[in-house]
Amino acid sequence: MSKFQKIILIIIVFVAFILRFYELNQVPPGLHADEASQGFNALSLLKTGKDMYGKSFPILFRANGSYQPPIYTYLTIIPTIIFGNSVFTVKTTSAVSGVCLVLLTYFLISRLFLGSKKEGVTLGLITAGIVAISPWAIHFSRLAVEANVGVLIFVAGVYLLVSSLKKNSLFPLACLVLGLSTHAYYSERVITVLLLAFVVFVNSKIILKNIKTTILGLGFFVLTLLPHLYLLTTGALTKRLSQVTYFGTISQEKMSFVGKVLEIGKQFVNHYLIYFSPKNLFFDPGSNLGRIAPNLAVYYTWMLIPFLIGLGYLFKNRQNNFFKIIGALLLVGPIPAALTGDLFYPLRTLDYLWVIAVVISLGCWQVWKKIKNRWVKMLVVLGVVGYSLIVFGISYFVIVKYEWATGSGEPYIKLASVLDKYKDREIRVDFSSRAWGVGIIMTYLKAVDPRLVQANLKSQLKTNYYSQDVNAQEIFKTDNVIFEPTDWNRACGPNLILVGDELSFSSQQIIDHKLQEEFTVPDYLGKPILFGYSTKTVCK
Amino acid sequence: MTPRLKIALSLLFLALIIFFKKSNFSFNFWLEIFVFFQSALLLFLIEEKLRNSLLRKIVFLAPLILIGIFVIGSGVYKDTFKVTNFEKNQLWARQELYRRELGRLGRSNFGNKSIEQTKLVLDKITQKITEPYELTHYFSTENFSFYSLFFLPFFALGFLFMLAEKIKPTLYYLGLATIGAVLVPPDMAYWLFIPLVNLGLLLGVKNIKKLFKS
Repeated sequence: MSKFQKIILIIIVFVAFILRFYELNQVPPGLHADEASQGFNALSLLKTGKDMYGKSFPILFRANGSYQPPIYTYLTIIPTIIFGNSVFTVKTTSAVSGVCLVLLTYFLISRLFLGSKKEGVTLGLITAGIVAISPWAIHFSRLAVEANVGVLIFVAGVYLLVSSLKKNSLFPLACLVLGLSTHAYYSERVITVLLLAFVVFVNSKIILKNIKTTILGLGFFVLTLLPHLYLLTTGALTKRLSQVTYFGTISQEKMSFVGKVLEIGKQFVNHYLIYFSPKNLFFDPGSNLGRIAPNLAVYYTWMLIPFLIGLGYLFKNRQNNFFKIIGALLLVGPIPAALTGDLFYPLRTLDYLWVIAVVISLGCWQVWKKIKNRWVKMLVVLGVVGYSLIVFGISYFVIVKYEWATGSGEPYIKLASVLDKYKDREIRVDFSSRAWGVGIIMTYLKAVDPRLVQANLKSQLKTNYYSQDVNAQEIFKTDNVIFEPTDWNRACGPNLILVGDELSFSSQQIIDHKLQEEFTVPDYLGKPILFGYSTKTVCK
Repeated sequence: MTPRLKIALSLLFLALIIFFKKSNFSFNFWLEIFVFFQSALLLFLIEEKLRNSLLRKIVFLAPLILIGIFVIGSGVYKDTFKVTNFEKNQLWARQELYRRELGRLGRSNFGNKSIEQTKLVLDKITQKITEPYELTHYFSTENFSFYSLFFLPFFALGFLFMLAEKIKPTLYYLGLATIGAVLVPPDMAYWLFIPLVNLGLLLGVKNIKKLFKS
């Protein structure tokens, strides 16, 4: 690697770092309940060694009516020690993973590419650059999502797995890391098994050469899956799947068994194909939670051309072992997401999106080789990167802040500091579907004593900690704040403040209960979003 | 099999494949002719077997001319470049955000009006070409798709062969079809891509043996 290439790598990592950490606590705005629960569980583990339900070091975290894979939460303990409880803290684990993914991608591609060393380094730099600036890679690094840690561990596993084809002794470590990735996110539970089966099958001659190492590796893999087997018996393992899949809906329909199987097959194929549609990958910003931002698809539109070129190159060189694995990942990557009912949900396919980045890079590399003049090369790179960053910056750092803020619970972050002024009052925050997860969000932001939260939530547990039946409507409370649906029969007394959005209080209720405005919480444009009312009704 | 017979069979395939489209799509003679001619031209472009240089040039330019005729025939969709009142309002609202967020850059004409107005047109164009790039328009289990899902593996294989072996003519036609898609009414846009789909199917069927051999 030349000095110039080293400088390029440093620049790429630096750009990746800036794109992931700049205004991390503000963009995207707000804090999701799933992010807050990871943060609070990390805080709770740090202070008490138990999660918010009082469970010592769980292998799956119960939260928000479902379960969260554990690795993200455990890793978040480290930034919690350094930064305390904040929006920045809970997202740091993901942002660091995002930067590490860029670096890991460089090492993987540059070392495993079977061409010359020089070509490998160039391709490695291009791929790292593509991952550094891709909208999906930046966006999910700025959210506290387990999938982002999942993709990092998975890619590390792929690196070791491909390396083990040359150096057999790495196979057990590869299996261990791949097994570990199944505890980072749901998708990896499916993909790792399929990938491992594919690699062992295709390279059976190489892998079975050292039978002891192979057995040891597969043994490690099975060992890491044992906790899943235990969780399977409790129903906790499949809880999330049962919430997002279409299996349940189809099984309830009046159809023969064969009809149901065919319908499930049809749904699966339709959902699977959506992930290969250029529309979804390069054009359509979409609108669901798992998407990126206004006007941004998971990749920039210009990337379609190198993607097609890369796809052609990949197919042409399909006998190459590394490309075989990339091809296999391209096919198995969307399978977990295709089992769910959402139409194109990038969050569930980060491993697949990473593979797409590799294919795009192969295309870019082909174009790079065609351009002979060094200066033209530089100009093209600067132009493309500059254009991409402007498009991303306009959408992400300007529009998102305003257009997403209200829906993403950002006003509740402001509310946390507003409520500091009302410590001597009894406050009831309206907990509705519009404010889903507000309890855990405020509990985390206010750093409520984990012991109090544990006692409160433990008393509300109606089933075992690991169970198929998980309550999503738990009532959270801090010293003087309770988060529950407004009960107008109890809305009385001079000390009470009711908090909610404009739909929480009708004009008639304001008159009937003699509500008087105490404060409002505005959005970024100054429009009041949350209202705090005191009541003059006397309790009977 | 002689090369001429091969070509004849390929052309026969391209002429007949259109009859395998789903029954929801009504028969339109001129559209079918357009699709056949375009896919035949694309086949000649990809096969590169024309020795006569003048003929080669004609085959190279013909898809462009045919797309031009298609655009004129179906009428240029003026709404692509027209900014509606709703979009004007959105533009105004977003200009305000730029003023707030980008400071001096946001207040200048370059940072504010020009970028956002250019972007608005770009966004509209992108939106316009988004639909024909939806794979399920061409293959799916649903009735709205052009072909049955059964054909998808053949198309995928054929398209991969096109990308691997003949990337330049493939991208050339894709570029032409994309420009055409920007200009024509939205419901006509995907007809421009069907020749590519048909050729993909042909090459898929032709190369399936090759794949299993390798």
